[in-house]
Amino acid sequence: MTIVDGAGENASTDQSPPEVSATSPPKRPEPVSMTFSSDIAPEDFDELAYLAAFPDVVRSIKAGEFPSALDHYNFYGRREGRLADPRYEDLVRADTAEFPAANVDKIYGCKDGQCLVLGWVNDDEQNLVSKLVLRNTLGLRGSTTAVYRYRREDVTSYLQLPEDRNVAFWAIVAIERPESISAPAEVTLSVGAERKTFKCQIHPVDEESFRELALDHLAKTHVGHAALEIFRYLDAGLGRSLIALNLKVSRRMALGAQTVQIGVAPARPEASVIVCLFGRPELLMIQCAIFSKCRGIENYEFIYVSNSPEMADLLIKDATIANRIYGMPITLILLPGNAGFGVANNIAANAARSARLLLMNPDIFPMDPEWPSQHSRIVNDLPPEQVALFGAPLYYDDGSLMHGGMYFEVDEEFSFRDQQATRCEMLRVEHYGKGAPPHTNPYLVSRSVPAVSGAWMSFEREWFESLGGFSPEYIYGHYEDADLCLKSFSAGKPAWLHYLPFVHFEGKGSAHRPAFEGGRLVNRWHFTKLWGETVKKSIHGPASQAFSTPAHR
Amino acid sequence: MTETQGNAKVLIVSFHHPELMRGGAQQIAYELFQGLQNEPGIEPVFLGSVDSAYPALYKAGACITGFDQRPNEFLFLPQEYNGAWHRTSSIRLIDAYCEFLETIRPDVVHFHHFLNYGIDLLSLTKRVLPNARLVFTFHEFLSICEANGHMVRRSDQSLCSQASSVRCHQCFPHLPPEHFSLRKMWFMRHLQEVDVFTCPSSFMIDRYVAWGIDAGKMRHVSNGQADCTRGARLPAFDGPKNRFGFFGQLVDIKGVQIILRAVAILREQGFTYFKVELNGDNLRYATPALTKEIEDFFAEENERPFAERIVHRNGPYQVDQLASRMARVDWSIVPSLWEEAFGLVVSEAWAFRRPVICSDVGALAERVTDDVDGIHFTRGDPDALAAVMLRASTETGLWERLSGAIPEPPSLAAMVAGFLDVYGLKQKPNGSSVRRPVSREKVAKGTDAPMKAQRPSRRPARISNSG
Repeated sequence: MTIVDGAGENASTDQSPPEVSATSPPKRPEPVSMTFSSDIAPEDFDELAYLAAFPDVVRSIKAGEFPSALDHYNFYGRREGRLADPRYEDLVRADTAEFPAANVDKIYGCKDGQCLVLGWVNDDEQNLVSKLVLRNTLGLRGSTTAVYRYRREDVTSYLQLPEDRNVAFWAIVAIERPESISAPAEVTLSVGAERKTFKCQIHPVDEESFRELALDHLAKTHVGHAALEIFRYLDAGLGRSLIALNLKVSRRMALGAQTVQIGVAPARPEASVIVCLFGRPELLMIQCAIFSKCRGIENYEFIYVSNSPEMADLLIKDATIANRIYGMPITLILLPGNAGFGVANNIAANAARSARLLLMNPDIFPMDPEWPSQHSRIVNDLPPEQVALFGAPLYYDDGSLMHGGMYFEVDEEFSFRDQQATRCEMLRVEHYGKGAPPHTNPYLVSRSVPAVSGAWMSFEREWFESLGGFSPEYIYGHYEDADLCLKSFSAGKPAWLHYLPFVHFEGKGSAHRPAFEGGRLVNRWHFTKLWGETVKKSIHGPASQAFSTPAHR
Repeated sequence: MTETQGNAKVLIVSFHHPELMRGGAQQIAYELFQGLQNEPGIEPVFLGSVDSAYPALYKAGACITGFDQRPNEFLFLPQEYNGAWHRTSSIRLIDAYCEFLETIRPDVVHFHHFLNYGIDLLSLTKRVLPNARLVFTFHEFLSICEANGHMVRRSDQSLCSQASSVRCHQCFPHLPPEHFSLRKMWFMRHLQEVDVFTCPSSFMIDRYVAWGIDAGKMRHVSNGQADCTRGARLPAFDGPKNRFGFFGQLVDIKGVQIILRAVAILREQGFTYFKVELNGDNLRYATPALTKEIEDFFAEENERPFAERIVHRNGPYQVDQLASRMARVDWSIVPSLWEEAFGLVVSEAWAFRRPVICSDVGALAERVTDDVDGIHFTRGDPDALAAVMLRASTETGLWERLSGAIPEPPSLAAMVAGFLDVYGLKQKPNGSSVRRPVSREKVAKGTDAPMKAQRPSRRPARISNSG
C-alpha cells in the first residue's frame, strides 16, 4: 500500500467558476476506488449452505453443468433470489455449537440505506469474525466482511480478558429496502465455520447522526491500532463511503442555510471577515467586542456561519446585543447541522459583499488595533501573486509563536503480517516556528510557504472562487486548509505569509466531539491520497526548494 | 472646561441597594448618593440592582423601575445574567438601559460594580453617552480574579498577588489557561472605556496598575461615611479590656472561624477570662463547612453553664444599632482572609474609638498600624490571634495607648469632595456646576492618592482623601 499517484497535480486548474459551490467536489481524479466483479461471491453467500439448501444445484454440478455453487449462483441463483429463499436462510441463520460468546448490542439505520451494527465477540486473534449478515422479514438484507474491531473495557472486564483485546466490533452494512428498518432484524455473525444469529431492533437515525456514530467508532478503532491499519480499512472502501456520506450530509446542510442580517452591513466593504462557529457561542460576542476597538474595522463586514443549530437563538440574541453595544453589523448564517469547516466557509464566502475574504477562527484576536489598515496596505501594495492567498503569524496566548506558515512531512509506517511487509506513507502537516520565541524572524518574514493555517487566511475572492473554495470532501475540519493551499500552489500561486500578528487560542475555538478524531483520520487519508506525490516531489519538509523565495518585508 | 446646563447629573450605579442587601460596596455607593444630594448644582441619581432574593420587586415586563416612591432612586432588575463572562444576555435589558441613559442623560456615570449589570455595560454607556465622564470604583478584584475577586488561591488558600493565565488555571483546573487570557482581554476591552478609576486603598491601585490598568486614570478616594456614632461618645469600659467583637458577614472569607478557633485555643490553654460577641449574618452565603463549624461550636458552647460561655451571637445589625453593639466590646477583630478593599468595619470601630485587631494584609494592614492604633496578627492563624487576644486582655495600658492613637475615619464630606474632583465637577458661586478636566499630575503628585511613604502623616486627624 502506497500513496496513489499525483492526483493533486491535476487538481484545480480549471477555469474559474463564477462562485463557489459549497458542496460540489472539484474536478480532479477520483482518488479512491473499489471495484466489484460479478465472479466474486456476495458477502452473504455460503457455499455449503447453498449446496445443502438446493439439491438441484448439487445435481447440476455433478452433471458438469457448473463447476461450482458460486458459478450457479452467478448465472442463475442471483436472478432467482436464492439467497432469500427460506431453505437457504434457515441454514445460514442456524446457530452452531462452538460459536464464542458474543452479542449484537445496537443497530443504527439510516434512510439512505446504511446500517451501523455494534457488538462484541470473544473470538481469538487467529480466527476473527469474518462476515456479518443483516436481514429482516420484510426483505431488508445486507452483508459485509468489513468488520472493524476496537476495545471495550466493559466487555473485557466482564469476560475477564486483557484490556487490550479488541473484542468489540462495528460494521457498516449497505442494505436493500431501507424503508423496512422498523421491523425486527436479525444479524448473523460468522467466525470460521461457526455461526450465530442475534435478534435486534434497528434504531433509525438521520444521516448526520449516522456520520457521527460511524466516525466516533472509527476513532475508537484507532486506539490500539496503528494509523496504517486505519488507512487499510479506509482503502478497502470505508474511506470512500464515509466521504460520500459526508458529501450528502453537508449538501443537505448547505441547502438549509438561513441568513439573518443584524444591523446594516456596509454596502461596499473593504473585506469580508468570515468566522465559522461550532460550539462556543460566547466567542462571537467576545470577538466582536475586541475587534470593534480596531481602527478602520467599520470598513469590514463580519459574517458568522454556524455549524451548531442548537446555538441559533443564542447567536441571534448575542449578535443583536453586539450590534447594540459595539455598533457592528453582523451577517449570521445558520446551518441546520454541522456541514464542516470548509463547506460552512464556502457558504459564507458566497454571501460576502467584498472582493477580499478574510477567513478567521472564532478564537483569533488581534494583537495590534491598527491591523485593518495594515491588512489593506498588504493587499494594495504587494504584488498580486503574493496576496492572492496569504496567512499571518499566529501567537499563543503565552507569547510564543504558534504558526509561521505550514509545511508537510511524510510519515512511514510498516506492518508485518503473514511474513509480508506492508508500507504506508502518510502526510503530516506541521507549523513553522510552533512554540518559538515571539521574534524568531525567519518565521515571520514575508515569504511563500507550502501552506498557511485556516485559522487565519486572506483571500482574493476571485482566486478563492476559481479554486472552487474549500473541498467539501473533508469531514468536519482539518486538512482542508492545506488542501486549498496546495490547490492554489498547483494552480500557480503558492500561499504567502505576511507579518500581521494575531493571537490564536488554538483548539479553544470550538467544541470537541470524539467523532472529530475519526473525521481527522479520514481527512488525513484523503489528503495523502490526493497530494502525496505532489508533496514528495516538490514540497516535502520545512526547507523545500519550491519555497525558497527570497524573504522581504 | 465644560459648563453643564444647570445641575450636573451624576448617575451612581450600585451593586444592590443597601437596604435590600447589606454590603460595603453598596453602602458606600448609597452614602455617596446621599452626600451628593446636599451638594448644590449636583443632581444625583441612584440605580441599584436587585436579585432573585426579592422576586416581588420584579414587575412584569419592566427592566428598570422606581424604588419605594423615592425620587431619583431606581432599581435595575437583572435578567439572563451570564456569570461566566459577567454580561447580560437580555436584549430587553440592554434596550431598557439605553433608554434609561437617554432619559436621564447624566453628565457622569459612576459604576460601583458591574455585577448584576455586566462589564459590557461600560462600553454601552460610552456608546450611548460618549461625552459623559465614566467613572468606575473597584471594590474588590473581580476583574482580575475569577475566584470571587478575592485573590485567594483555591489550592492552598494563600494570598495571590499576581494573576496569570497559568496561575488562574491552577485555581480552576477545569478551565484552560487560554480561558483566563481571554477573560482578561474581555475585561480590559470594557475597562478601557472608563475615564477615571478609583480605589479606596493604595495597595489596590498598585495591584490594578500592575495588572494593566492605565496608572494615569487611577485615583485614590477613601470610603467615607456619615457619622455612625450620631454624636454618641462611648466611655472607656472601666476594667480589663477583654471584650472582643466581630462585625460583618458570617461568610468564609471574613474569617470568623479564625476567632472561634482562637477561642478554643485559649480555652485549652486555660485562659477563659474574656468574651467574644459576633455581630452579623448572611450565614446562608457561607460554605457548608463553615456553617457546620459555627453550628458545632455553638452547640458545644451552649451546653456549657452560662458563666462559662465565652462567645455570643447577637445577629445582624443596622447602622443605628452600632453604638449599642460597640458599647459591649473593647476591641474589634477583623480576621479577613482576603486583603479587603478598604475595611468599613475598621472605620466603624474607629468611630467609637475601639482599636482594631486585624489580619496583617492588604487594606487592613494599610489602614491599621501595628502596635500604634491597633494590632496585626498573621492572616488565617488562630494561634497568632489567640496570642494577640491574650495580650490585649492582660497588658495594662495597651488599650488606652492604642485607642488614643486612633485616627478619625474618613468622613462622608471628604469622600464626596474627592469624587466631585474625580468627576471634574466643581461648584460655581451660583450653585451650578462646572466640569473641568482632571489633571494626571494630581495622581503623580499623590495629592489624593496617599502612598505607603506618606503613612506617618496619616496619624490622628487623618482624612485619607484630603488634599
